[in-house]
Amino acid sequence: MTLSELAQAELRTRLRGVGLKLACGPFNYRIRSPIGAIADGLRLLYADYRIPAESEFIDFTVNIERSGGLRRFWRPQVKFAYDGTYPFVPMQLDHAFPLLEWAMNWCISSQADHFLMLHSAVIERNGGAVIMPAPPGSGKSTLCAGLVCRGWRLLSDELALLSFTDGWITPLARPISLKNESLDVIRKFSPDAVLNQVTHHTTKGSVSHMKVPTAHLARVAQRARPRWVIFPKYVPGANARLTPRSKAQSLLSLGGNSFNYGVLGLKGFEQLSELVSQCDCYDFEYSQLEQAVAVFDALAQELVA
Amino acid sequence: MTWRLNPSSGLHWRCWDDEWVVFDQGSGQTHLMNPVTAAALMQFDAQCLSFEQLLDKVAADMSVTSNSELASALSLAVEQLVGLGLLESARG
Repeated sequence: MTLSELAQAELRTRLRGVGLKLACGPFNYRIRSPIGAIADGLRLLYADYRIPAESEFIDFTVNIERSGGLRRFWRPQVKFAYDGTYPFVPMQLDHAFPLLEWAMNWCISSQADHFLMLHSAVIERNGGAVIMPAPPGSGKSTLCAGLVCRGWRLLSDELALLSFTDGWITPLARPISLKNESLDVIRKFSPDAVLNQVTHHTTKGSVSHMKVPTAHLARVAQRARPRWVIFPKYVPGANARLTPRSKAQSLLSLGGNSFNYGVLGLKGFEQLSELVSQCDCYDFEYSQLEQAVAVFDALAQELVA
Repeated sequence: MTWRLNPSSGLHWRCWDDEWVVFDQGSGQTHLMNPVTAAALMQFDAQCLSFEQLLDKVAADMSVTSNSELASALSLAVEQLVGLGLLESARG
Protein backbone atom coordinates (compact mmCIF):
# COMPACT_ATOMS: atom_id res chain seq x y z
CA MET A 1 0.00 0.00 0.00
CA THR A 2 1.22 3.51 -0.83
CA LEU A 3 0.37 6.82 0.75
CA SER A 4 -1.66 7.86 -2.32
CA GLU A 5 -4.10 5.05 -1.52
CA LEU A 6 -4.98 6.67 1.81
CA ALA A 7 -7.98 9.01 1.79
CA GLN A 8 -7.16 12.58 2.82
CA ALA A 9 -9.23 12.22 5.99
CA GLU A 10 -7.49 8.97 6.95
CA LEU A 11 -4.08 10.54 6.37
CA ARG A 12 -4.91 13.41 8.73
CA THR A 13 -6.43 11.03 11.29
CA ARG A 14 -3.26 8.94 11.38
CA LEU A 15 -1.01 11.99 11.60
CA ARG A 16 -3.04 13.35 14.53
CA GLY A 17 -3.33 9.97 16.23
CA VAL A 18 -1.31 6.76 16.03
CA GLY A 19 1.05 8.21 13.44
CA LEU A 20 1.56 7.75 9.72
CA LYS A 21 4.01 4.97 8.93
CA LEU A 22 6.20 5.64 5.93
CA ALA A 23 8.99 3.60 4.32
CA CYS A 24 11.95 5.59 2.97
CA GLY A 25 14.65 3.33 1.59
CA PRO A 26 15.93 1.06 4.37
CA PHE A 27 14.17 3.00 7.15
CA ASN A 28 10.61 3.08 8.43
CA TYR A 29 9.30 6.29 9.98
CA ARG A 30 6.27 7.01 12.14
CA ILE A 31 5.23 10.63 11.66
CA ARG A 32 2.87 12.44 13.99
CA SER A 33 1.65 15.99 13.48
CA PRO A 34 -1.59 17.97 13.74
CA ILE A 35 -0.34 20.56 11.26
CA GLY A 36 -2.12 20.78 7.91
CA ALA A 37 0.98 21.73 5.92
CA ILE A 38 2.58 18.44 6.97
CA ALA A 39 -0.33 16.43 5.61
CA ASP A 40 -0.39 18.48 2.39
CA GLY A 41 3.34 18.15 1.82
CA LEU A 42 3.34 14.43 2.47
CA ARG A 43 0.41 13.89 0.12
CA LEU A 44 2.17 15.78 -2.66
CA LEU A 45 5.76 14.55 -2.27
CA TYR A 46 5.37 11.11 -0.71
CA ALA A 47 2.32 9.82 -2.61
CA ASP A 48 4.25 6.86 -4.06
CA TYR A 49 6.04 5.81 -0.88
CA ARG A 50 5.12 2.52 0.74
CA ILE A 51 3.23 2.34 4.00
CA PRO A 52 4.85 -0.40 6.10
CA ALA A 53 2.73 -3.26 7.41
CA GLU A 54 1.60 -3.24 11.02
CA SER A 55 4.18 -5.87 11.98
CA GLU A 56 7.18 -3.99 10.54
CA PHE A 57 9.74 -2.37 12.83
CA ILE A 58 9.67 1.41 13.05
CA ASP A 59 13.14 2.96 13.09
CA PHE A 60 12.24 6.55 13.91
CA THR A 61 9.21 8.31 15.35
CA VAL A 62 9.09 11.97 14.35
CA ASN A 63 6.71 14.35 16.12
CA ILE A 64 6.19 17.79 14.61
CA GLU A 65 4.22 19.70 17.23
CA ARG A 66 2.90 23.18 17.81
CA SER A 67 4.64 24.96 20.68
CA GLY A 68 2.42 25.42 23.72
CA GLY A 69 1.75 28.31 26.08
CA LEU A 70 1.48 31.84 24.74
CA ARG A 71 3.12 30.69 21.53
CA ARG A 72 -0.22 29.20 20.52
CA PHE A 73 -1.51 32.76 20.05
CA TRP A 74 1.48 35.03 19.45
CA ARG A 75 3.78 34.16 16.55
CA PRO A 76 2.95 30.44 16.75
CA GLN A 77 5.87 28.06 16.51
CA VAL A 78 6.51 24.45 15.59
CA LYS A 79 9.02 22.07 17.13
CA PHE A 80 10.48 18.66 16.43
CA ALA A 81 10.16 16.19 19.31
CA TYR A 82 12.11 12.94 19.33
CA ASP A 83 12.13 10.43 22.15
CA GLY A 84 11.26 13.11 24.70
CA THR A 85 13.91 15.53 23.46
CA TYR A 86 13.83 18.60 21.18
CA PRO A 87 16.90 18.35 18.95
CA PHE A 88 16.26 21.65 17.08
CA VAL A 89 15.23 25.09 18.22
CA PRO A 90 11.52 25.87 17.55
CA MET A 91 10.68 27.49 14.22
CA GLN A 92 7.81 29.61 13.04
CA LEU A 93 4.71 27.57 12.26
CA ASP A 94 4.85 27.93 8.47
CA HIS A 95 8.28 26.22 8.49
CA ALA A 96 6.65 22.95 9.53
CA PHE A 97 7.23 20.97 6.35
CA PRO A 98 10.93 21.86 5.89
CA LEU A 99 11.33 21.08 9.59
CA LEU A 100 9.88 17.60 8.99
CA GLU A 101 12.37 16.99 6.16
CA TRP A 102 15.30 18.19 8.28
CA ALA A 103 14.10 16.09 11.20
CA MET A 104 13.89 12.99 9.01
CA ASN A 105 17.46 13.61 7.85
CA TRP A 106 18.62 14.14 11.43
CA CYS A 107 17.16 10.80 12.55
CA ILE A 108 19.34 8.98 10.04
CA SER A 109 22.50 11.07 10.25
CA SER A 110 22.61 10.93 14.04
CA GLN A 111 21.92 7.22 14.44
CA ALA A 112 22.46 5.02 11.40
CA ASP A 113 26.05 4.07 12.22
CA HIS A 114 25.68 0.68 10.57
CA PHE A 115 26.43 2.67 7.38
CA LEU A 116 29.34 4.96 6.60
CA MET A 117 27.33 8.17 6.05
CA LEU A 118 28.60 10.92 3.79
CA HIS A 119 26.93 14.32 3.47
CA SER A 120 26.52 13.95 -0.24
CA ALA A 121 24.14 13.61 -3.14
CA VAL A 122 24.19 10.26 -4.94
CA ILE A 123 22.86 9.51 -8.41
CA GLU A 124 23.25 6.50 -10.67
CA ARG A 125 23.18 5.66 -14.37
CA ASN A 126 24.16 2.51 -16.25
CA GLY A 127 25.03 0.80 -12.98
CA GLY A 128 27.58 3.37 -11.81
CA ALA A 129 26.89 5.73 -8.92
CA VAL A 130 28.27 9.25 -8.59
CA ILE A 131 28.92 10.51 -5.06
CA MET A 132 28.75 14.32 -4.93
CA PRO A 133 29.91 15.71 -1.59
CA ALA A 134 29.94 19.45 -1.22
CA PRO A 135 29.34 22.18 1.33
CA PRO A 136 26.13 24.26 1.26
CA GLY A 137 26.08 26.79 -1.56
CA SER A 138 28.14 24.68 -3.94
CA GLY A 139 25.19 23.89 -6.21
CA LYS A 140 25.12 20.21 -5.23
CA SER A 141 21.36 19.84 -4.89
CA THR A 142 20.65 21.94 -7.99
CA LEU A 143 22.99 19.75 -10.02
CA CYS A 144 21.50 16.63 -8.48
CA ALA A 145 17.95 17.78 -9.32
CA GLY A 146 18.95 18.69 -12.86
CA LEU A 147 20.53 15.29 -13.46
CA VAL A 148 17.53 13.49 -11.98
CA CYS A 149 15.26 15.46 -14.33
CA ARG A 150 17.40 14.16 -17.23
CA GLY A 151 17.23 10.49 -16.32
CA TRP A 152 19.85 9.88 -13.65
CA ARG A 153 18.39 7.77 -10.85
CA LEU A 154 18.21 9.48 -7.47
CA LEU A 155 19.64 7.60 -4.52
CA SER A 156 19.82 10.63 -2.24
CA ASP A 157 20.37 14.38 -2.42
CA GLU A 158 21.74 14.52 1.12
CA LEU A 159 23.05 11.22 2.51
CA ALA A 160 25.26 8.60 0.91
CA LEU A 161 24.77 5.35 2.85
CA LEU A 162 27.75 3.05 2.25
CA SER A 163 27.69 -0.60 3.25
CA PHE A 164 30.56 -1.90 5.38
CA THR A 165 30.16 -5.28 3.73
CA ASP A 166 30.66 -4.45 0.06
CA GLY A 167 30.84 -0.64 -0.23
CA TRP A 168 27.63 -0.40 -2.27
CA ILE A 169 25.20 2.47 -1.68
CA THR A 170 21.67 2.01 -0.35
CA PRO A 171 19.11 4.44 -1.84
CA LEU A 172 16.94 6.69 0.28
CA ALA A 173 15.18 8.43 -2.63
CA ARG A 174 13.68 11.23 -0.55
CA PRO A 175 12.58 14.58 -2.03
CA ILE A 176 15.37 16.89 -3.19
CA SER A 177 15.85 20.04 -1.13
CA LEU A 178 16.10 23.20 -3.24
CA LYS A 179 16.53 26.76 -2.12
CA ASN A 180 16.59 30.36 -3.29
CA GLU A 181 17.77 30.81 -6.91
CA SER A 182 17.78 27.04 -7.46
CA LEU A 183 13.99 26.96 -7.38
CA ASP A 184 13.61 29.03 -10.54
CA VAL A 185 16.58 27.31 -12.17
CA ILE A 186 14.90 23.91 -11.83
CA ARG A 187 11.44 25.21 -12.77
CA LYS A 188 12.89 26.55 -16.04
CA PHE A 189 15.13 23.54 -16.63
CA SER A 190 12.34 21.03 -16.10
CA PRO A 191 8.83 22.53 -16.11
CA ASP A 192 7.38 19.09 -15.29
CA ALA A 193 9.24 18.88 -11.97
CA VAL A 194 6.84 18.76 -9.00
CA LEU A 195 7.82 21.13 -6.19
CA ASN A 196 6.11 21.65 -2.85
CA GLN A 197 4.99 25.16 -1.89
CA VAL A 198 7.92 27.45 -1.12
CA THR A 199 8.66 28.27 2.53
CA HIS A 200 10.28 31.67 2.93
CA HIS A 201 12.58 33.15 5.59
CA THR A 202 13.95 29.86 6.88
CA THR A 203 17.54 29.64 8.15
CA LYS A 204 18.43 28.49 4.62
CA GLY A 205 16.37 31.16 2.88
CA SER A 206 13.41 30.22 0.65
CA VAL A 207 13.17 26.44 0.43
CA SER A 208 11.07 23.80 -1.28
CA HIS A 209 11.39 20.10 -2.08
CA MET A 210 11.21 18.34 -5.44
CA LYS A 211 9.23 15.14 -5.77
CA VAL A 212 11.17 11.99 -6.66
CA PRO A 213 10.06 10.47 -9.99
CA THR A 214 7.86 7.42 -9.45
CA ALA A 215 10.13 5.22 -11.57
CA HIS A 216 13.02 5.93 -9.18
CA LEU A 217 10.96 4.86 -6.18
CA ALA A 218 10.13 1.62 -7.93
CA ARG A 219 13.88 0.85 -7.85
CA VAL A 220 14.49 2.01 -4.28
CA ALA A 221 15.58 -1.48 -3.22
CA GLN A 222 18.31 -1.58 -5.89
CA ARG A 223 21.64 -0.59 -4.40
CA ALA A 224 24.36 0.89 -6.60
CA ARG A 225 28.11 0.49 -6.87
CA PRO A 226 30.09 3.74 -6.44
CA ARG A 227 32.07 4.55 -9.57
CA TRP A 228 32.89 8.27 -9.29
CA VAL A 229 33.45 10.81 -6.51
CA ILE A 230 32.82 14.29 -7.90
CA PHE A 231 33.10 17.52 -5.90
CA PRO A 232 30.77 20.01 -7.65
CA LYS A 233 31.04 23.76 -7.50
CA TYR A 234 28.77 26.30 -9.14
CA VAL A 235 30.96 29.02 -10.65
CA PRO A 236 29.08 31.82 -12.46
CA GLY A 237 30.00 31.88 -16.15
CA ALA A 238 32.19 28.76 -16.00
CA ASN A 239 32.10 26.10 -18.67
CA ALA A 240 31.35 22.63 -17.31
CA ARG A 241 34.70 21.00 -16.61
CA LEU A 242 35.95 17.94 -14.78
CA THR A 243 39.43 18.10 -13.25
CA PRO A 244 41.07 15.01 -11.76
CA ARG A 245 41.45 15.22 -8.00
CA SER A 246 43.93 13.22 -5.93
CA LYS A 247 42.54 10.23 -4.09
CA ALA A 248 44.33 11.20 -0.89
CA GLN A 249 42.80 14.70 -0.92
CA SER A 250 39.43 13.17 -1.79
CA LEU A 251 39.61 10.81 1.19
CA LEU A 252 40.27 13.69 3.57
CA SER A 253 37.48 15.79 2.09
CA LEU A 254 35.03 12.88 2.26
CA GLY A 255 35.99 12.25 5.88
CA GLY A 256 35.33 15.91 6.63
CA ASN A 257 31.93 15.62 4.92
CA SER A 258 30.94 12.46 6.76
CA PHE A 259 28.39 12.38 9.55
CA ASN A 260 30.06 9.50 11.37
CA TYR A 261 33.63 9.01 10.08
CA GLY A 262 34.92 10.46 13.34
CA VAL A 263 33.14 7.88 15.49
CA LEU A 264 33.81 4.84 13.32
CA GLY A 265 37.58 4.78 13.83
CA LEU A 266 39.62 2.34 11.74
CA LYS A 267 36.47 0.82 10.24
CA GLY A 268 35.56 4.17 8.68
CA PHE A 269 39.10 4.77 7.40
CA GLU A 270 39.24 1.37 5.74
CA GLN A 271 35.82 1.86 4.11
CA LEU A 272 36.67 5.33 2.86
CA SER A 273 40.04 4.11 1.54
CA GLU A 274 38.27 1.35 -0.36
CA LEU A 275 35.81 3.87 -1.79
CA VAL A 276 38.42 6.26 -3.20
CA SER A 277 40.52 3.35 -4.47
CA GLN A 278 37.67 2.05 -6.60
CA CYS A 279 36.38 5.45 -7.79
CA ASP A 280 37.66 8.07 -10.20
CA CYS A 281 37.78 11.35 -8.28
CA TYR A 282 37.17 14.79 -9.81
CA ASP A 283 36.48 18.42 -9.08
CA PHE A 284 33.65 19.77 -11.24
CA GLU A 285 32.91 23.38 -12.10
CA TYR A 286 29.71 24.37 -13.87
CA SER A 287 27.30 27.21 -14.43
CA GLN A 288 24.84 25.76 -16.96
CA LEU A 289 22.86 22.62 -16.15
CA GLU A 290 22.59 21.50 -19.79
CA GLN A 291 26.39 21.50 -20.08
CA ALA A 292 26.71 19.69 -16.77
CA VAL A 293 24.28 16.98 -17.87
CA ALA A 294 26.28 16.44 -21.07
CA VAL A 295 29.50 15.94 -19.07
CA PHE A 296 27.86 13.48 -16.68
CA ASP A 297 26.15 11.61 -19.51
CA ALA A 298 29.52 11.17 -21.20
CA LEU A 299 30.87 9.61 -17.99
CA ALA A 300 27.94 7.20 -17.79
CA GLN A 301 28.46 6.31 -21.44
CA GLU A 302 31.92 4.97 -20.55
CA LEU A 303 30.22 2.18 -18.65
CA VAL A 304 28.19 1.16 -21.68
CA ALA A 305 31.23 1.25 -23.95
CA MET B 1 67.84 14.91 21.09
CA THR B 2 65.97 11.78 20.13
CA TRP B 3 62.34 11.16 19.22
CA ARG B 4 60.07 8.19 19.36
CA LEU B 5 56.62 7.27 18.12
CA ASN B 6 53.85 8.27 20.51
CA PRO B 7 53.22 4.93 22.28
CA SER B 8 49.45 5.44 22.15
CA SER B 9 49.42 5.76 18.37
CA GLY B 10 48.45 3.01 15.97
CA LEU B 11 49.24 3.89 12.38
CA HIS B 12 47.46 2.59 9.27
CA TRP B 13 48.80 3.69 5.91
CA ARG B 14 47.41 4.15 2.42
CA CYS B 15 49.27 5.52 -0.60
CA TRP B 16 47.99 6.78 -3.94
CA ASP B 17 50.57 8.10 -6.42
CA ASP B 18 53.01 10.12 -4.29
CA GLU B 19 50.54 11.05 -1.57
CA TRP B 20 50.32 9.23 1.72
CA VAL B 21 47.41 9.13 4.14
CA VAL B 22 47.85 7.81 7.65
CA PHE B 23 45.09 7.03 10.12
CA ASP B 24 46.15 7.15 13.78
CA GLN B 25 43.98 4.74 15.72
CA GLY B 26 45.15 6.32 18.98
CA SER B 27 43.75 9.76 18.24
CA GLY B 28 41.22 8.92 15.51
CA GLN B 29 42.88 11.55 13.30
CA THR B 30 43.61 11.16 9.60
CA HIS B 31 46.61 12.96 8.12
CA LEU B 32 47.76 13.66 4.57
CA MET B 33 51.53 13.47 4.15
CA ASN B 34 54.11 14.13 1.48
CA PRO B 35 56.68 11.36 0.77
CA VAL B 36 59.41 12.84 3.01
CA THR B 37 57.15 13.21 6.04
CA ALA B 38 55.70 9.73 5.49
CA ALA B 39 59.18 8.23 5.13
CA ALA B 40 60.31 9.97 8.32
CA LEU B 41 57.39 8.73 10.38
CA MET B 42 57.82 5.17 9.12
CA GLN B 43 61.42 5.06 10.41
CA PHE B 44 60.25 5.39 14.01
CA ASP B 45 58.45 2.10 14.12
CA ALA B 46 59.71 0.45 17.36
CA GLN B 47 62.82 2.58 17.76
CA CYS B 48 64.06 5.93 19.02
CA LEU B 49 66.13 8.01 16.59
CA SER B 50 68.28 11.10 16.71
CA PHE B 51 67.99 13.57 13.86
CA GLU B 52 71.24 12.32 12.31
CA GLN B 53 70.07 8.71 12.47
CA LEU B 54 66.74 9.70 10.94
CA LEU B 55 68.48 11.62 8.13
CA ASP B 56 70.61 8.59 7.23
CA LYS B 57 67.69 6.19 7.31
CA VAL B 58 65.40 8.37 5.21
CA ALA B 59 68.16 9.03 2.66
CA ALA B 60 68.77 5.28 2.35
CA ASP B 61 65.06 4.52 2.21
CA MET B 62 64.41 7.06 -0.53
CA SER B 63 67.71 6.30 -2.34
CA VAL B 64 68.81 9.94 -2.26
CA THR B 65 71.92 11.73 -1.04
CA SER B 66 71.89 12.93 2.54
CA ASN B 67 72.29 16.68 1.95
CA SER B 68 71.20 19.98 3.45
CA GLU B 69 68.04 20.10 1.34
CA LEU B 70 66.84 16.77 2.71
CA ALA B 71 67.90 17.79 6.22
CA SER B 72 65.82 20.94 5.95
CA ALA B 73 62.77 19.02 4.71
CA LEU B 74 63.18 16.45 7.47
CA SER B 75 63.53 19.09 10.13
CA LEU B 76 60.22 20.55 9.04
CA ALA B 77 58.66 17.07 8.90
CA VAL B 78 59.74 16.24 12.46
CA GLU B 79 58.36 19.56 13.68
CA GLN B 80 55.02 18.77 12.01
CA LEU B 81 54.91 15.21 13.38
CA VAL B 82 55.60 16.44 16.91
CA GLY B 83 52.85 19.03 16.46
CA LEU B 84 50.42 16.33 15.37
CA GLY B 85 51.23 14.30 18.45
CA LEU B 86 52.63 11.40 16.43
CA LEU B 87 56.23 11.84 17.66
CA GLU B 88 57.47 12.80 21.09
CA SER B 89 60.78 13.39 22.79
CA ALA B 90 62.36 10.11 23.89
CA ARG B 91 63.89 11.71 27.01
CA GLY B 92 60.61 11.82 28.90
